[in-house]
Amino acid sequence: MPDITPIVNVALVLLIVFMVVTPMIREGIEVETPEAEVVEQLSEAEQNVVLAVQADGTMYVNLKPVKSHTLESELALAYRGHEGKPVVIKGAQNLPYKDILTLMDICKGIGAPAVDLVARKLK
Amino acid sequence: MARRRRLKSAGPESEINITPLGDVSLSLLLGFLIITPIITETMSATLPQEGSGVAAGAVKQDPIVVLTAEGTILVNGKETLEEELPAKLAEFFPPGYKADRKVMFTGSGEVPYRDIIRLLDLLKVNGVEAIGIR
Repeated sequence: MPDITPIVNVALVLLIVFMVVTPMIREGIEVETPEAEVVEQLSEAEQNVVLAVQADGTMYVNLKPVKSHTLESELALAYRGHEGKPVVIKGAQNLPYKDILTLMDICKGIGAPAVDLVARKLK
Repeated sequence: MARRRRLKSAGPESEINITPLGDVSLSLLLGFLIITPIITETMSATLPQEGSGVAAGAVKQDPIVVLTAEGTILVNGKETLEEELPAKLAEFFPPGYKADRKVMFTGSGEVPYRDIIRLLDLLKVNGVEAIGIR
């Protein structure tokens, strides 16, 4: 009988890594997004720049927290190499629309032709 | 092999059998590997670019939908009830409409984002293919 101890070690380590990492990449930054009936499915593999805003106004570019005065430069930096692709905006549903408009303006400012607004599929 | 046989013959098995543990962890691992490349659900909207479609022809034919701070929906300036929206959109996009069913959208800054998405969703449910945000 072959010794399976090493393979079990490797598998357990990988398992733990995935258990830790999955909730992080799955949710990204936790935001209570609005619900919608018609949504397009966007594969994570496209790796678009994600701009998240929580209900208290905390902003994140991808997973990095940013202040409002550094937002534009951080976003422009993150957008490099994604030219022509939409920026994914993940806004909390309780935010006033003007906050989202400001973000869309910034996206436009860095040259994004479109935005994708994250919504939960209505059950 | 030889060692094991020798151990067996010497007496009871002294090593813990880790085969079931290996089975469980490998299948859990596979499960995680499969659910990891996940999907985000989004609604796309285009942003007008300086000097592009906004100025001329494109906007003229696309209906403009406005959501005011009071929650009234205006379609090309005319107040429209939510229930009237499908009929109104059908006017703009008769069956067999060739071009993209595109709508320009403006919302008041005071409206909660939730309501904006709800209206955009309503537009999409009624067959609008693209939404431009002004």
